[in-house]
Amino acid sequence: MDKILRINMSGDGSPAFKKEPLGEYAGFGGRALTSAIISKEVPPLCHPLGAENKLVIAPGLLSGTTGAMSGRLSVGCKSPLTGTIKEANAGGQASQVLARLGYAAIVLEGKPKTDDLYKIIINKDGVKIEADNSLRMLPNYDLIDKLKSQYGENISCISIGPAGEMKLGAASVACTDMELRPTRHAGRGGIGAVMGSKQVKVIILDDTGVKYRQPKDPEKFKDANKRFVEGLMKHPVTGKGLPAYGTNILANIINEAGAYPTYNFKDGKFAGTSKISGETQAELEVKRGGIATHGCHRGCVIRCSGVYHDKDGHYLTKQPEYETVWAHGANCGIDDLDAIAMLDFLDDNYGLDTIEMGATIAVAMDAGIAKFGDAQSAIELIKEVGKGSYLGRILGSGAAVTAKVFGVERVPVVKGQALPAYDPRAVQGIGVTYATSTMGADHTAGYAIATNILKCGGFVDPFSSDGQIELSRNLQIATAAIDSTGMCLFIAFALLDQPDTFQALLDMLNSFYGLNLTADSVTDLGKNVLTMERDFNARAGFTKEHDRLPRFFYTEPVSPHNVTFKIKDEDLDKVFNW
Amino acid sequence: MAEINSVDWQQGVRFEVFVGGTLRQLLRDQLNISDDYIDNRIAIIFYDGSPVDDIDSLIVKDGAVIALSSQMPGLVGAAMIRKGLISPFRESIRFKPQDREIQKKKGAITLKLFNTLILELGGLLANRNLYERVE
Repeated sequence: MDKILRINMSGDGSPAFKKEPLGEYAGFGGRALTSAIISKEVPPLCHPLGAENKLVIAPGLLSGTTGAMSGRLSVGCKSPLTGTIKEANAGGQASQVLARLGYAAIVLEGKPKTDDLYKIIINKDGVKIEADNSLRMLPNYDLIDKLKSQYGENISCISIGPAGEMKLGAASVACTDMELRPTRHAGRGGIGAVMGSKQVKVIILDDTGVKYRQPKDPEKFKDANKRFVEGLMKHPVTGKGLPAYGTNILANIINEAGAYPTYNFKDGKFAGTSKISGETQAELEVKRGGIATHGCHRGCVIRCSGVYHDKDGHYLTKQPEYETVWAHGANCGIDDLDAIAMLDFLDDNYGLDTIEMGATIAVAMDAGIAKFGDAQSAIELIKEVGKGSYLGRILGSGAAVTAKVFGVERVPVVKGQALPAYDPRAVQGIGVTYATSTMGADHTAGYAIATNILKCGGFVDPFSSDGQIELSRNLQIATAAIDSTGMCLFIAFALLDQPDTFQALLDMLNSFYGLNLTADSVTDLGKNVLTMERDFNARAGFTKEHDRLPRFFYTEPVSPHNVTFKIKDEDLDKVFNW
Repeated sequence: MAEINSVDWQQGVRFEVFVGGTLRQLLRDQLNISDDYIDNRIAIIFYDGSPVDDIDSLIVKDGAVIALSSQMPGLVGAAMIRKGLISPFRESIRFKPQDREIQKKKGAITLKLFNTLILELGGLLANRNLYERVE
């Protein structure tokens, strides 16, 4: 994994590619690499869909190794949804395969001079870029079926659906999973639209004949990986809760806390939660012959995903995640798991971010286009996006655009990106992260919870406003670092409670690369990533006034606790003071 | 009475108990949950919809709704953990002790169980024969 593949889509006659050494980007992986390239090479004031923007696809530092949980793929660009720098990441097989093929990143640059649609094939023998207009407007599942018949089953794909080709603000980039289904999405920020603007439909990866990446010290790496896996397995979240119920295990808890946004963030509790909870979902999956415990890539030991079958016992979609079930469920007043699973399938098939689309449908319901709780109408609205009708293109552009078009005041977005599934009035600390994240509202921006990083800033009363600011700062730093390793963020729970598991992760990195990283090094990496991202955003015209929640969170109390967001603007402005 | 299923536990089951004692006393002495289990497996407790940090000072009142959960993923899930590192994130909704005194007397509570606790505690608690479903 020592080279960057640059593909210039503006090449004379046809796109051209070149392979370069990592050079100044050596030592970076995942989010650190995507943000470093975007920050340095993309003009911040460029149009996100123009030739000057770049789409960077980067495996993590440990992807392609035998290390557990190392399969996240980062995708970065200037976001058409937010106008900020963006990194979204996904599981699936692509990260592992791309890393084993030796690439630290693929960079899509420029823009074709014709309207041809391209596929890129990468294997041990090299790179091919071919026009293939027969793939035009194929939904993701149909696309993969077609490619399987042509390239066989030993491939992994990174693709866009019709939403990406239409360059819609909610378009995702899909990665195939172990079963070669396009179920894992780098969803946020409209990155699929940027891939669409490069007119690249799919990148087909084949690692036949290629071996796992080898560590500098194999014995130490093997030992560290063993300790890391043991740490994950003995922890109640990563060893029990997530495997049994998936991420939707959170639904009951967040609902009980009154922090489960309902009816487009009007209420904090949803009466139908027990019908759509992770507990109920897992039972139903098993009853119908699906799977409640399943990994999204080889090497995943947490296995928080699953397989959802329809009433007749046929595959419908992968296990919908917590954010998806909330966005299309409680937030739209829908308490029907089958309808939510269908919405999840449609989002994956058209290539759409499930959070953005759930938030958008709820805004559309507030506008009177459909009634809250009307599952069939929600399904029809997503189908409009797939069809590319005028209404569908508005909806596919996200919650902010939809609200503007239909005159809705309650718009749950920060920097144009929809809020995820936690009401910031009930859980004010996450509101700090939503407001100040470099990416727009993002629950994963401050997710990594490592004790030794949390304590690195010295003692501040955590219950004070300053304490919440400091917590959010340290969480964002830790997350930026973990996003750069390519490790799944769900390892964070074991890292929080078990210092030896955190040390095992450091030992994996150190033994693989021959380094001597410490917790301080991880903090420095996280700060470096955030500094690059903040610098890009500042040059793109973003100021502290953009680091705010929508006004209604300050003025409308949310039930049942009847609380508003209380963190002061001047405190939000301190998050990145270090 | 028919078997209590997972959805019943999620929605809540009503128990006749003595109220006016601490939450720990209720869980340990009346529901027969060991201190070890309370301290090591029940990571998150809600009392009338508010996350609880100190179960030794909280006095249970008649009609209370108590929800029990194991440790949760996610930043906000972790924020709900009793006395957790990032519990300050949900300071605005945490349970604040009552001012008024609560009498010890016969009463009832609604108990909700979530996630792995349904499997681990559901069967034991259902055998107590002191419950009814909450509609």
